[in-house]
Amino acid sequence: MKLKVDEIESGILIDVSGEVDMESSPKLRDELKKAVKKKPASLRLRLADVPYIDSSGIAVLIEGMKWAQGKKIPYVLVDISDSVRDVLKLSRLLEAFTIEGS
Amino acid sequence: MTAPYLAIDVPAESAYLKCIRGFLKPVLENRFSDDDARQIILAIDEACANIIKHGQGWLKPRGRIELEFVDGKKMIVVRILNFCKESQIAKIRPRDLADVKPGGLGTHFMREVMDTMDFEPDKEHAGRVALVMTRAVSGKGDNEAQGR
Repeated sequence: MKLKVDEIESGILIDVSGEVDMESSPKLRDELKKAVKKKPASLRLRLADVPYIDSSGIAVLIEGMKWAQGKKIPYVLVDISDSVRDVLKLSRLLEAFTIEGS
Repeated sequence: MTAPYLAIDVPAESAYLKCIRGFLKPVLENRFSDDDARQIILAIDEACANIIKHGQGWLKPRGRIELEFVDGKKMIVVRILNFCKESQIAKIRPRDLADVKPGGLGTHFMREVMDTMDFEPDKEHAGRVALVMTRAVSGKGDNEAQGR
Protein backbone atom coordinates (compact mmCIF):
# COMPACT_ATOMS: atom_id res chain seq x y z
CA MET A 1 0.00 0.00 0.00
CA LYS A 2 1.24 3.49 -0.86
CA LEU A 3 0.13 6.78 0.64
CA LYS A 4 0.51 10.16 -1.03
CA VAL A 5 -0.21 13.07 1.25
CA ASP A 6 -1.00 16.49 -0.23
CA GLU A 7 -1.48 19.51 1.98
CA ILE A 8 -3.65 21.85 -0.05
CA GLU A 9 -5.57 25.02 0.74
CA SER A 10 -8.79 23.13 1.41
CA GLY A 11 -7.11 20.69 3.78
CA ILE A 12 -5.22 17.42 3.60
CA LEU A 13 -5.76 14.84 0.87
CA ILE A 14 -4.41 11.33 1.43
CA ASP A 15 -4.32 9.28 -1.74
CA VAL A 16 -4.32 5.58 -0.85
CA SER A 17 -3.27 3.01 -3.42
CA GLY A 18 -2.95 -0.74 -2.99
CA GLU A 19 -4.43 -3.26 -0.60
CA VAL A 20 -5.44 -2.10 2.88
CA ASP A 21 -5.22 -5.14 5.13
CA MET A 22 -4.00 -6.21 8.55
CA GLU A 23 -0.40 -5.78 7.40
CA SER A 24 -0.73 -2.32 5.85
CA SER A 25 -3.56 -0.64 7.79
CA PRO A 26 -1.33 0.50 10.73
CA LYS A 27 0.57 2.69 8.25
CA LEU A 28 -2.70 4.37 7.17
CA ARG A 29 -3.70 4.76 10.82
CA ASP A 30 -0.41 6.54 11.61
CA GLU A 31 -0.86 8.90 8.66
CA LEU A 32 -4.44 9.71 9.66
CA LYS A 33 -3.37 10.41 13.22
CA LYS A 34 -0.64 12.77 11.98
CA ALA A 35 -3.07 14.51 9.64
CA VAL A 36 -5.72 15.08 12.34
CA LYS A 37 -3.08 16.56 14.69
CA LYS A 38 -2.44 19.27 12.10
CA LYS A 39 -6.10 20.34 12.37
CA PRO A 40 -6.60 20.82 8.62
CA ALA A 41 -9.67 22.56 7.18
CA SER A 42 -10.74 19.14 5.90
CA LEU A 43 -9.37 15.61 5.70
CA ARG A 44 -10.04 13.72 2.52
CA LEU A 45 -9.10 10.14 1.67
CA ARG A 46 -9.00 9.15 -1.96
CA LEU A 47 -9.71 5.41 -2.26
CA ALA A 48 -10.08 4.95 -6.02
CA ASP A 49 -7.02 2.71 -6.27
CA VAL A 50 -7.78 0.36 -3.38
CA PRO A 51 -8.53 -3.09 -4.83
CA TYR A 52 -8.95 -4.73 -1.43
CA ILE A 53 -9.82 -3.61 2.09
CA ASP A 54 -10.48 -5.81 5.11
CA SER A 55 -12.04 -5.20 8.53
CA SER A 56 -8.80 -3.74 9.90
CA GLY A 57 -8.83 -1.19 7.07
CA ILE A 58 -12.47 -0.33 7.74
CA ALA A 59 -11.62 0.01 11.45
CA VAL A 60 -8.93 2.56 10.55
CA LEU A 61 -11.39 4.52 8.39
CA ILE A 62 -13.77 4.63 11.37
CA GLU A 63 -11.02 5.66 13.78
CA GLY A 64 -10.00 8.47 11.43
CA MET A 65 -13.59 9.64 11.24
CA LYS A 66 -13.93 9.64 15.04
CA TRP A 67 -10.67 11.56 15.50
CA ALA A 68 -11.71 14.12 12.86
CA GLN A 69 -15.18 14.50 14.39
CA GLY A 70 -13.56 15.11 17.76
CA LYS A 71 -11.75 18.12 16.29
CA LYS A 72 -14.66 19.17 14.08
CA ILE A 73 -12.67 18.46 10.91
CA PRO A 74 -14.80 17.51 7.88
CA TYR A 75 -13.80 13.94 6.92
CA VAL A 76 -14.58 12.75 3.42
CA LEU A 77 -13.97 9.55 1.50
CA VAL A 78 -13.39 10.41 -2.16
CA ASP A 79 -13.79 8.28 -5.30
CA ILE A 80 -14.10 5.00 -3.44
CA SER A 81 -13.39 1.86 -5.46
CA ASP A 82 -16.02 -0.84 -6.01
CA SER A 83 -14.21 -3.06 -3.50
CA VAL A 84 -14.28 -0.42 -0.79
CA ARG A 85 -17.94 0.34 -1.52
CA ASP A 86 -18.79 -3.35 -1.34
CA VAL A 87 -17.10 -3.83 2.05
CA LEU A 88 -18.63 -0.63 3.48
CA LYS A 89 -22.02 -1.90 2.32
CA LEU A 90 -21.37 -5.29 3.91
CA SER A 91 -20.46 -3.45 7.13
CA ARG A 92 -23.67 -1.34 6.93
CA LEU A 93 -21.43 1.72 7.00
CA LEU A 94 -22.15 3.42 3.67
CA GLU A 95 -24.36 5.96 5.41
CA ALA A 96 -21.92 6.56 8.25
CA PHE A 97 -19.32 8.25 6.04
CA THR A 98 -19.44 11.34 3.87
CA ILE A 99 -18.61 9.99 0.41
CA GLU A 100 -17.91 12.09 -2.67
CA GLY A 101 -17.42 11.05 -6.28
CA SER A 102 -17.71 7.65 -8.01
CA MET B 1 -15.39 -38.51 -8.48
CA THR B 2 -13.63 -36.89 -5.55
CA ALA B 3 -13.83 -33.10 -5.53
CA PRO B 4 -10.56 -31.29 -6.16
CA TYR B 5 -8.68 -30.58 -2.94
CA LEU B 6 -6.21 -27.75 -2.45
CA ALA B 7 -4.22 -26.64 0.59
CA ILE B 8 -1.95 -23.84 1.66
CA ASP B 9 0.20 -23.63 4.78
CA VAL B 10 1.86 -20.32 5.66
CA PRO B 11 3.29 -18.68 8.81
CA ALA B 12 0.58 -17.07 10.97
CA GLU B 13 1.84 -13.57 10.24
CA SER B 14 -0.03 -10.71 8.59
CA ALA B 15 2.49 -10.44 5.75
CA TYR B 16 1.31 -13.84 4.49
CA LEU B 17 -2.40 -13.03 4.27
CA LYS B 18 -1.75 -11.73 0.77
CA CYS B 19 -0.44 -15.18 -0.22
CA ILE B 20 -3.68 -16.80 0.94
CA ARG B 21 -5.78 -14.30 -1.02
CA GLY B 22 -3.63 -14.92 -4.09
CA PHE B 23 -4.08 -18.66 -3.66
CA LEU B 24 -7.87 -18.39 -3.43
CA LYS B 25 -8.52 -15.79 -6.13
CA PRO B 26 -8.16 -17.88 -9.32
CA VAL B 27 -10.07 -20.83 -7.83
CA LEU B 28 -12.98 -18.71 -6.61
CA GLU B 29 -13.16 -16.54 -9.71
CA ASN B 30 -13.58 -19.74 -11.70
CA ARG B 31 -16.66 -20.73 -9.71
CA PHE B 32 -18.34 -17.50 -8.61
CA SER B 33 -19.17 -14.06 -9.96
CA ASP B 34 -16.41 -11.51 -9.42
CA ASP B 35 -18.40 -9.82 -6.62
CA ASP B 36 -19.10 -13.10 -4.82
CA ALA B 37 -15.49 -14.26 -5.23
CA ARG B 38 -14.28 -10.99 -3.72
CA GLN B 39 -16.58 -11.37 -0.71
CA ILE B 40 -15.63 -15.01 -0.13
CA ILE B 41 -11.93 -14.07 -0.23
CA LEU B 42 -12.70 -11.37 2.35
CA ALA B 43 -14.50 -13.84 4.64
CA ILE B 44 -11.67 -16.38 4.49
CA ASP B 45 -9.04 -13.67 4.90
CA GLU B 46 -10.84 -12.43 8.02
CA ALA B 47 -10.86 -15.94 9.47
CA CYS B 48 -7.11 -16.22 8.87
CA ALA B 49 -6.53 -12.77 10.37
CA ASN B 50 -8.42 -13.94 13.45
CA ILE B 51 -5.86 -16.70 13.93
CA ILE B 52 -3.09 -14.12 13.92
CA LYS B 53 -4.91 -11.75 16.27
CA HIS B 54 -6.46 -14.20 18.69
CA GLY B 55 -6.23 -17.91 17.92
CA GLN B 56 -2.49 -18.26 18.05
CA GLY B 57 -1.48 -15.00 19.66
CA TRP B 58 -0.17 -16.91 22.66
CA LEU B 59 2.22 -19.02 20.62
CA LYS B 60 5.86 -17.91 20.59
CA PRO B 61 7.01 -18.04 17.91
CA ARG B 62 3.73 -17.72 16.02
CA GLY B 63 2.26 -20.88 14.54
CA ARG B 64 1.01 -21.48 11.06
CA ILE B 65 -2.19 -20.99 9.09
CA GLU B 66 -3.20 -24.33 7.59
CA LEU B 67 -6.05 -23.93 5.14
CA GLU B 68 -7.74 -26.74 3.20
CA PHE B 69 -10.10 -26.02 0.34
CA VAL B 70 -12.48 -28.50 -1.30
CA ASP B 71 -13.74 -27.33 -4.67
CA GLY B 72 -16.94 -29.37 -4.65
CA LYS B 73 -19.56 -29.70 -7.34
CA LYS B 74 -22.27 -27.95 -5.36
CA MET B 75 -20.31 -26.15 -2.69
CA ILE B 76 -16.89 -25.10 -1.61
CA VAL B 77 -15.65 -26.16 1.80
CA VAL B 78 -12.95 -24.21 3.61
CA ARG B 79 -11.33 -25.82 6.63
CA ILE B 80 -8.85 -23.84 8.70
CA LEU B 81 -6.96 -26.12 11.07
CA ASN B 82 -5.71 -25.15 14.51
CA PHE B 83 -8.09 -22.18 14.46
CA CYS B 84 -8.33 -21.56 18.20
CA LYS B 85 -8.69 -23.25 21.58
CA GLU B 86 -12.07 -24.86 22.30
CA SER B 87 -12.50 -22.37 25.14
CA GLN B 88 -12.25 -19.44 22.72
CA ILE B 89 -15.22 -20.44 20.52
CA ALA B 90 -17.77 -18.55 22.63
CA LYS B 91 -15.86 -15.32 22.11
CA ILE B 92 -16.18 -15.54 18.32
CA ARG B 93 -19.41 -13.70 17.64
CA PRO B 94 -20.42 -10.68 15.58
CA ARG B 95 -21.17 -7.38 17.29
CA ASP B 96 -24.07 -4.96 16.91
CA LEU B 97 -23.37 -3.11 13.66
CA ALA B 98 -25.60 -0.17 14.65
CA ASP B 99 -22.78 0.91 16.92
CA VAL B 100 -20.29 2.59 14.57
CA LYS B 101 -16.93 1.77 16.09
CA PRO B 102 -13.68 0.18 14.97
CA GLY B 103 -13.20 -3.57 15.38
CA GLY B 104 -15.37 -6.65 15.48
CA LEU B 105 -16.40 -6.67 11.82
CA GLY B 106 -14.43 -9.74 10.73
CA THR B 107 -16.78 -12.27 12.27
CA HIS B 108 -19.74 -10.42 10.76
CA PHE B 109 -18.17 -10.75 7.29
CA MET B 110 -17.58 -14.46 7.79
CA ARG B 111 -21.17 -15.12 8.87
CA GLU B 112 -22.70 -12.82 6.27
CA VAL B 113 -20.80 -14.17 3.29
CA MET B 114 -20.55 -17.89 4.01
CA ASP B 115 -23.56 -20.23 4.19
CA THR B 116 -22.31 -22.13 7.21
CA MET B 117 -19.61 -21.60 9.80
CA ASP B 118 -18.91 -24.35 12.33
CA PHE B 119 -16.17 -25.66 14.55
CA GLU B 120 -14.97 -29.24 14.76
CA PRO B 121 -12.35 -30.91 16.94
CA ASP B 122 -8.95 -30.73 15.30
CA LYS B 123 -7.51 -34.23 15.22
CA GLU B 124 -4.02 -32.95 14.53
CA HIS B 125 -3.91 -30.43 17.37
CA ALA B 126 -5.13 -31.53 20.82
CA GLY B 127 -7.52 -29.10 22.56
CA ARG B 128 -7.83 -27.00 19.42
CA VAL B 129 -10.65 -26.67 16.90
CA ALA B 130 -10.80 -26.30 13.14
CA LEU B 131 -13.09 -23.70 11.58
CA VAL B 132 -15.19 -25.10 8.74
CA MET B 133 -17.07 -22.78 6.39
CA THR B 134 -19.12 -23.66 3.33
CA ARG B 135 -20.68 -21.73 0.49
CA ALA B 136 -22.97 -23.07 -2.23
CA VAL B 137 -21.67 -22.60 -5.73
CA SER B 138 -23.64 -20.29 -7.93
CA GLY B 139 -22.75 -18.12 -10.84
CA LYS B 140 -20.09 -18.99 -13.32
CA GLY B 141 -20.61 -22.65 -14.02
CA ASP B 142 -19.64 -25.60 -11.91
CA ASN B 143 -17.26 -28.52 -11.78
CA GLU B 144 -19.76 -30.83 -13.43
CA ALA B 145 -19.89 -28.57 -16.45
CA GLN B 146 -16.12 -28.63 -16.52
CA GLY B 147 -16.10 -32.40 -16.61
CA ARG B 148 -15.08 -32.97 -13.00
